[in-house]
Amino acid sequence: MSMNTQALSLPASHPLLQRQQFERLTLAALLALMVFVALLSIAIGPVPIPIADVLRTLAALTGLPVAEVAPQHEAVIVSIRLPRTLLGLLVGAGLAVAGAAMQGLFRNPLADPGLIGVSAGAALAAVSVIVLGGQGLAFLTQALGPFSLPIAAFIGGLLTTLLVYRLASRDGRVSVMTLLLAGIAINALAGAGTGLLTYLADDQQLRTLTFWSMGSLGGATWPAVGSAALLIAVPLLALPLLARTLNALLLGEAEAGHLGIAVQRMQPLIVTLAALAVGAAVAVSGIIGFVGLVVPHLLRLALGPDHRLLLPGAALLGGSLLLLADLLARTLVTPAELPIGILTALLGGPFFLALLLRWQRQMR
Amino acid sequence: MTLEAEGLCVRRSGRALLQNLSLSLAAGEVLAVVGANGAGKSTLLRVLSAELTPDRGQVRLNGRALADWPARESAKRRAVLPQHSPLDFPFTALEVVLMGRIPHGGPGAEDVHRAALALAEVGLAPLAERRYTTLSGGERQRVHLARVLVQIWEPLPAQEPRFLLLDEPTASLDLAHQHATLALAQRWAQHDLGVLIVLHDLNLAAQYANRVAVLKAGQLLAVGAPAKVLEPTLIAEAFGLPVQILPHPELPCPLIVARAQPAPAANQAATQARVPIT
Repeated sequence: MSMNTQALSLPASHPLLQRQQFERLTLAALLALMVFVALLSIAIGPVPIPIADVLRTLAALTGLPVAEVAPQHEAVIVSIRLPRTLLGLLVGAGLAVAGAAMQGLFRNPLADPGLIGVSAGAALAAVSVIVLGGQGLAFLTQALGPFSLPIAAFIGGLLTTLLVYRLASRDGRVSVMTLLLAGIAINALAGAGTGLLTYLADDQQLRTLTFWSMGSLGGATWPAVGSAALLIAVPLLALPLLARTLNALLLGEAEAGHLGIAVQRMQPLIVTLAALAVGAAVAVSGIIGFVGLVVPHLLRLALGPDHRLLLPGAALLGGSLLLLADLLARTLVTPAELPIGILTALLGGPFFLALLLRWQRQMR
Repeated sequence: MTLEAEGLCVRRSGRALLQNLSLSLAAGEVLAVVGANGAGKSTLLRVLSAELTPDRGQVRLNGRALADWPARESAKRRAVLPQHSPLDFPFTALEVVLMGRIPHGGPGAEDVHRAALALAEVGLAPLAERRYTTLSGGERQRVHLARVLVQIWEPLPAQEPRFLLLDEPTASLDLAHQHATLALAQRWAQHDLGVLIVLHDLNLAAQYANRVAVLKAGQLLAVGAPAKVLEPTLIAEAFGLPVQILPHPELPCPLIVARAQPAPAANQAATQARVPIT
């Protein structure tokens, strides 16, 4: 245990400062990517719109005096592409941030709202409202109005997260095996429940339900954007404030407690915020898997696991990635549209398998 | 002012883990807690660190009941080194150490400097930027030691004592680092700091502790200076092992060696059986 005084100044100053600069640049690049993808998403579609027109319309919306845009283009942007783009950003950011937070909470990079059944639980609750909203749950839909769907999805997501956490943790340690197995069971159960409700549904409801199980941003209307923004904004703003708590939780529950973190209060808060993001996302876009798995993982490779960077980074990259997926979903087979969940699964499935293989090698 | 346990009783699923145990840790001393597996060492540590609430009795930190301390304030006064941390994310060694500064607010330049000093203190300065997941078990353990040191790095006002609780800090370390870690504990104890170490190796306890507490079945069998407490009858009672105590060839402390055991009956039979064949 030599007291090497020469080595002291080095690690404190230059590698650290270099990394901080790199971190800032990465976040700036992610922001630029998000803006770029958002502009593409508004410009590209069955009616191609020049970027200049997109910028002009956006400027006009914020009240800037600019030259006129073709009214047809303006209508497409304002009533179709802009709400869809905003919804994609919100849902992607919400899912990615919720995924990062859950991985911190479960201390495992394999936790994903879709894999551990949280999305399915949220979807089951939302489908119940769609199918039974006119009958059994009428009191609920009347009381909550346009928010009944997201709120039901939130409660469904919350209950499943709590259930999974109960099943997978023992003495403050989370077993990955139990976590993933519990996810399988809950996905199956929620799937059965959703299936049963599908059986009861009428034709009109059935069409809504199929889009749900695969996920889609096709339902993007301004009210949907509004409700999603309201509900997803809370976890998007609050979870980064809990970044240090999440970092400490990675050390272990007891260890976080020794560092003065009120673990018993913080864990339920994080669960609630993550479930709120997933619930709101599921309510407007159905089940879109793997975003919460892939995005935080890519960011950890570039920025490391510190949640103070990971959470804002996940919001930016999650939004971009989901918009890109949506862009592919609605351009690959025009005039038809692929469910976006198929695309994210095509990307995320192999990714998850690779992670699983690496994890298995590590365990040996 | 001390970290003081008074009449601790802990029962879990019908078994008494601690029975009416009282023990105090003062600033300036190294107290080693020894005992057979299941004697209650880890339970005692968990109660002292407020991780476990005792069924009866209480722990007072500098005169105030542990439950009455705000979590952050007690975290500035005592740090706990766990036996194993489930951490499995690729933080750099320096980032892990910096987490020790969480009770003190944000990690500023001053905190980074302290974290680097703490890493040097445990001999890991060259590995500051290495990913935690690429470190060996012993290196990880020393990173966590640096983390708990940096947690209680600065003296408190009015020389209020700080406490360091170490749960088998030598378990995954090689011989040289076992001694280096305990020498570090000894050095730190000289600055208003009380250090409690759960240990398995009685000779390490004898060499580095000011006092040794011997636990058996959740009870305190004896506590006092190593030369007084570590004697054959008591060790035989606590561990069920006959030992002989020799004077240390160089240091003023006892040296404990296990006595020659009669060879097990099965082996004798085997040896005898072999004789007529050869």
